Amino acid sequence: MTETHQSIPIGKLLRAENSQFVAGCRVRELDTPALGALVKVRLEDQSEIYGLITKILINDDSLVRQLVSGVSIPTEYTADNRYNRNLPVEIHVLTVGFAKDGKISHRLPPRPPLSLDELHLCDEAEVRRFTAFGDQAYIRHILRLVDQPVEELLAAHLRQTKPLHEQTGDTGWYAQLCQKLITLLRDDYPRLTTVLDVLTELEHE
Amino acid sequence: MENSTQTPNEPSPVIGYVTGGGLEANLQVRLTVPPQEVQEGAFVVIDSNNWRFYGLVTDLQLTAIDEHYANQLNSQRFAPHLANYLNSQTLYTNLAVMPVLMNEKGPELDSPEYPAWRLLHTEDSDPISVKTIPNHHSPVKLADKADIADIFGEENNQNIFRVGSTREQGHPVCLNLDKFVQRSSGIFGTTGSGKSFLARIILAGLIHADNASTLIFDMHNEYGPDTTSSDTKASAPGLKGKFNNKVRLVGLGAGTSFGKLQPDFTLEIAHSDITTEDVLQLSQILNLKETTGTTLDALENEFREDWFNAFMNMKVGSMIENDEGKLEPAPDSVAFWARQAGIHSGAAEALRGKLARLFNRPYLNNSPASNGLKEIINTLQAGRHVVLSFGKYESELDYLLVTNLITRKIRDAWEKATTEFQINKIKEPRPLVVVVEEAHKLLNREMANQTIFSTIAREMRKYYVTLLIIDQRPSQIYDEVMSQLGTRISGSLGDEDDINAVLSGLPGRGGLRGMLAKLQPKEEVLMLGWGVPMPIPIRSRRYDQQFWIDIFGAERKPMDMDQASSFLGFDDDSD
Amino acid sequence: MPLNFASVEKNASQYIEQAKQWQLESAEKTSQLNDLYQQACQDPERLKQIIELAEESLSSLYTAKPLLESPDSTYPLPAMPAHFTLLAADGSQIVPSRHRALQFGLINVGLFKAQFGSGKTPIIDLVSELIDFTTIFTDDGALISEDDVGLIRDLRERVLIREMITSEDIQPVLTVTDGPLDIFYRSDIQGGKGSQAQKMVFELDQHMQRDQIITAGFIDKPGSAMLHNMLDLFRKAQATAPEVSNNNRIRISDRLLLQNKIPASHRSALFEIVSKRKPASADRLRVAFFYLNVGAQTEQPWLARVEIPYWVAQSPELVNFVHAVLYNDAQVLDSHPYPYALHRAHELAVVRQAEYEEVENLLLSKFEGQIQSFSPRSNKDYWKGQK
Repeated sequence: MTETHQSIPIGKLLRAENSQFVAGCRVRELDTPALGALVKVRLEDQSEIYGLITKILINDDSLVRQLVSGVSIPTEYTADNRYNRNLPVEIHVLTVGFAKDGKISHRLPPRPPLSLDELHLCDEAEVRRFTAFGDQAYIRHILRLVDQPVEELLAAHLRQTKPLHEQTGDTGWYAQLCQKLITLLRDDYPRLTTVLDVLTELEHE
Repeated sequence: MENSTQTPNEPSPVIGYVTGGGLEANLQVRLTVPPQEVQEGAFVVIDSNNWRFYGLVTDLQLTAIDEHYANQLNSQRFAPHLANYLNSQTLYTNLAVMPVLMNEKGPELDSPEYPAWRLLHTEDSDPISVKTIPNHHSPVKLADKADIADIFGEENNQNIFRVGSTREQGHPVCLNLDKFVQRSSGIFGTTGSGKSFLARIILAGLIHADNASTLIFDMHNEYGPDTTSSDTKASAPGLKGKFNNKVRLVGLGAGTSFGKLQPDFTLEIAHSDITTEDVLQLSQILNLKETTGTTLDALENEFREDWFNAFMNMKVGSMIENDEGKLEPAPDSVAFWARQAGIHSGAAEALRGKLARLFNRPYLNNSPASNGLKEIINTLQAGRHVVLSFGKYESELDYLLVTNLITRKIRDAWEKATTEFQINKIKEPRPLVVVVEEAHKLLNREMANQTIFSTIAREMRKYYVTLLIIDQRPSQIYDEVMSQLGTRISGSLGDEDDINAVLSGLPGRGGLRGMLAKLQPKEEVLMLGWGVPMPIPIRSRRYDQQFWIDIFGAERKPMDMDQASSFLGFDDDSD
Repeated sequence: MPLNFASVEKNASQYIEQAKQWQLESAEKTSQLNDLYQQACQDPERLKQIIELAEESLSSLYTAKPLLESPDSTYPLPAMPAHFTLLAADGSQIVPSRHRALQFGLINVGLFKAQFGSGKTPIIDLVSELIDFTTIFTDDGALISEDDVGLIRDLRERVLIREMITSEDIQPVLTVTDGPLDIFYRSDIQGGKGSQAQKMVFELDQHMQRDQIITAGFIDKPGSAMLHNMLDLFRKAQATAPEVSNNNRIRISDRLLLQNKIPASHRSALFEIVSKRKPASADRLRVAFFYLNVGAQTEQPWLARVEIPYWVAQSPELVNFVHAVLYNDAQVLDSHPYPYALHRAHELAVVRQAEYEEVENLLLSKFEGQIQSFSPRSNKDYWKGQK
């Protein structure tokens, strides 16, 4: 069982399927999760499902809509809506693997998580362990996305994950990942060049 | 020995894998090393399911899995390491490999299947012409020394004779001289392509192996005596000097000599040896008319073997006064004879006039001092080699007349010997190779039916005689003859027709055309044809001091310094 | 089973006819009342006297009494102070039901406090309290009613809202709840309990007054007809005024009477609520009120009644404060004007069915199998719950 005492809870599951799931959280906690971050859900049998945050949706409700369309709102009420009200913020997560009995796999889990399971942000050690496992096959899942810009997600994920590996002196991780991306995408020229453009920009940052 | 860059025991690295193609269209191989490591013409081996395939690289193409990757400068658009990964995964070189041979080699020696396979295949097999193809993804390697020896034979300084080495790694490539002489063959190349040096090497090999006799028509005095290379100013030893005992140097015409080197004997041709066919073959060069044949027939009818001498003695325009005081042809005149022979006198006179050039050849003699021809034939039949150097008689006329005449005589002799052998089964005739240069003069389309050479070429050693033609314009040679040639060894050829001619009669070898066009002059030749297991471009062996050491090295008895240095060509006074 | 629309339709036309008739009579009565109103407003002092007289002589009375302002006067929106504190409380409840497996009552109070002018995030709180088991039974052993629970909740709201105010809160402080300030007419609570509650409310307000904390009650769609009653008294006192229609069942609400008389953002004049019931009680909160047009445009008037303690009504400053704050807060939700703070308090307090069941399960689980004395859920109720 992986160490989780450092992972930060950031929401609860609303709905799920095998390849993706959605958690809801309160606005205040939005400081914590970021696009591309590695998160996980622990199931009843202590296995854990890992995912990458692909979308953070802030929905409105009738009150917010009214406030937006009405007269000018006092600052205090803006703050009230942001911090007091349970505005449904949805965190959309792409499943990228799971772990059972401490063994990591980059395949889709046999069962999706259940609603109200807690979503945790993985700590640095865990991110390193998961992303360095095997031949980084988890990347495949990202490339499955069709309704989102894959390169943005990759960039966000790498911006967070690459430094973690460099800290421990693992310079090979990023090189291997780049090569894997090229291998997976080389038959799709437009997509690959978009991804490489973004990676190049990232390296210049 | 030319150094190979690889020690014999190192396994050759894989350079690529098969991705497609087939027997007809060549195999497609994806290269996994930089393209500069492989050249057109490289000899490669492909292993698949216990079979080893042998082939030649006929083309290299740059490809990409998507054109866009090739068209864009990845290194400028993306970060350097990303560009490198991208290029290595998307940009490839494709080889076109022409499969030629295949051999069942069995599993690896240390694999578990080997003993079982060995039981079924007790003897090592020989490579056969390719009939199937390797699987997808079969590994491709450059042939190593052992592969080349498997195909071309292991050099034994006798009949397996090293003519050069592979261009990439310098592995020795040999010619099987026994097979070489079983058909007529050709050595081709433009002037300055190193054709003569190559010819010398091969002739040296033939003489040294001694499985056949050679008669070399040395038109330009290149082969027999020592010569100086016009380019390097280095001396090139002649065959006579090197193979003193085996080679008889014959000079055309009495009194011919080659500097310090004296011929073993000289050749004068008796008038009686000249047949009317010999003259007819000179039709073009002498500009003889159609009526010539009739005239010659008449002469031969009347004078038999002396027709040439008789005709020579006839005078043109010789007149006397007759009884009536009128001028009439003198009895020793051409006209006189023509009339009484029923030949148009004008034609006969014209012929006489044209033949004047022949008549005054110094090496033609009514009664030569010795029977040079017979001497030549005997020498050859005794197993020795003859170099007939033309000395100062370098004209085309001389060449055509002499080579044809001699060759015809020789072939007749061999025909006779063959017939006797077929009856008695006692003495098998010694194989003979007649070496002619400027073959296009002797074997062009116009003359094709008339010369003895085309007969020999077509006969294909029925009578143990084959040709070795050396020429720079193969396109001028009658293509029926070209297509009958066995082995062809060609240096660089500039002309497309010449290239096509060299390939004449060989099954679809499109890839070879390019190879032929790109041979490095003086350095590289392409060997192909019947006598060669598979076509291969090679770096030709150098005709230098080392060559002679290699030839004689193992067999040499100790000699003194003078002998040794003279043998090695270090003569102070050779130019 | 679906309705028998056929038979409904049979009655429909009769129904329409009756309604139309009622409407006609209402319109007529309204017009009459308007005339009366005009008359009465000509002499406000006299009107006041009439009411006071009635107050003394009648044992049961429920009417409006004008204060110092002329009854037909209206007052425009005053300026709002830059700094003040606004608190709102609202609650919901679970009433014990004999049909369920377990009888329990729960009150859920949502609290909202905003410090205007500070820019700070408002403070919210939710208090959920289980009613003591002994309290859910009346003296004669029946389960307490919805009204009973409502009363408990109401009282808790007021206490909790008071507890939410700290010394750091920016003055002035206004608390607002939904519904009348006076507890009395919120329930049918009779007897001891009722007067006890009244006393508590009175004492609470005393504390508030001491600390100058203003409480207000906001009634969104007021249905009371206090002005109607007032005009009736006025009419009776005019011997000469003709009888209005006999249909005493038609009560014209204050809202209807006034809605075209008050421009948007204006308030009506201040009145006092006079309510008497046998027996009278001593400690009772004196309540004043005004009607406020919370609409944005006069063409679409929306009248709400704002009730304030009598002592607040004495101070024009404080009345202006209440007027300004409540109007502006209602304008935040301008499509359907209602004070934002109250809405939030309400939002916090809502109990969903799922939560009801969760509480029930929670309590049941705590019994750990020792629930012999309780009956299971009634079968009737069970089947109601099935889809």
